[in-house]
Amino acid sequence: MDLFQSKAEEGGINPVALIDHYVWIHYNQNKILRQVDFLEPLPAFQAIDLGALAAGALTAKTNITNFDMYADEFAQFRIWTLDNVQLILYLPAGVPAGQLKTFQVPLSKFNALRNPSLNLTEICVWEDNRPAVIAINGSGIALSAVRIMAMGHHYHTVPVSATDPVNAKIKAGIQPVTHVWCSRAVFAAGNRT
Amino acid sequence: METGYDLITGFRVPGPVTNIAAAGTANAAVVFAAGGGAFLGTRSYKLKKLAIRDRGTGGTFVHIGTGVAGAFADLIPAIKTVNNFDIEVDQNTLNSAEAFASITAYPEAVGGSSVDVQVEVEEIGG
Repeated sequence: MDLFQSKAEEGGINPVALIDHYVWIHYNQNKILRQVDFLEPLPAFQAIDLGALAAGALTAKTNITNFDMYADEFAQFRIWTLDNVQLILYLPAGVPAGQLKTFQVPLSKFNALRNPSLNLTEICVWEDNRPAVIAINGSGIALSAVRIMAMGHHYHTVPVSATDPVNAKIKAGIQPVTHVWCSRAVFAAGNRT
Repeated sequence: METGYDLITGFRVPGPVTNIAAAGTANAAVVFAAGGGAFLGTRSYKLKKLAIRDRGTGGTFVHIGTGVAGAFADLIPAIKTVNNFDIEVDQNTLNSAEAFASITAYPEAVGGSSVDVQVEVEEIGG
């Protein structure tokens, strides 16, 4: 099964895993083996409206609470904005997403035009370890709203015992596992060499 | 097939034909009502088409904007009507000004008559 995160396909978003599939959840320095027992698609919805934003202004860092998942759940979202802002994303709230050595790559409304499948905007969220966002109004026009939209899937998972024989199969490369990155901590400054 | 353009555009919705028989901002009438609801995200409405019929005002200016009375704010410059004529402004000519509230309109004068106003908007949001 050819499923992986940030998969590019026109006009849709593939799940990263199906029912009974195994996933490695990467969250901060943790790597958690889980098995998916249910998934549900999430059609496009408004994740957050950061409200009015004056020309040249930026918002405070704001948690996207609508992305909170129940325990044992993770979600896969592609995100875009309807308003003329740039978004600086954190995943989770303390860790910059898209952080290069001298620049943090923002999202903007142009992502939807230049990357129509939005696969480059894909993030995953583990339980309630929500992302946060800062919006920048780089235009000369005040905005009445800053709407961030999302769509994707959410997944319920069950733990996999360390004594489960599947562990050996995974280690031997016989049993496929999808890596699910629910944190950019591996790219955090302290982890760079 | 969904494209990037589909993700940032909305649906076209025409408002009702609204007869306005009183002049001035205090009499600004809703020509497109903003929606609402518990699960609704923030909706906005971009002007795409405008139709005005002058029923015999002698010619006036019709303002399209948001709010009523002192809170009225123009979305576009006022449109000049010609007595007993109609005007249609399409999306190639009309600025797609965006409103986050009900769209209202008023004529500067009615001359004992009235105007009919209809807008078509692109409704954007979740």
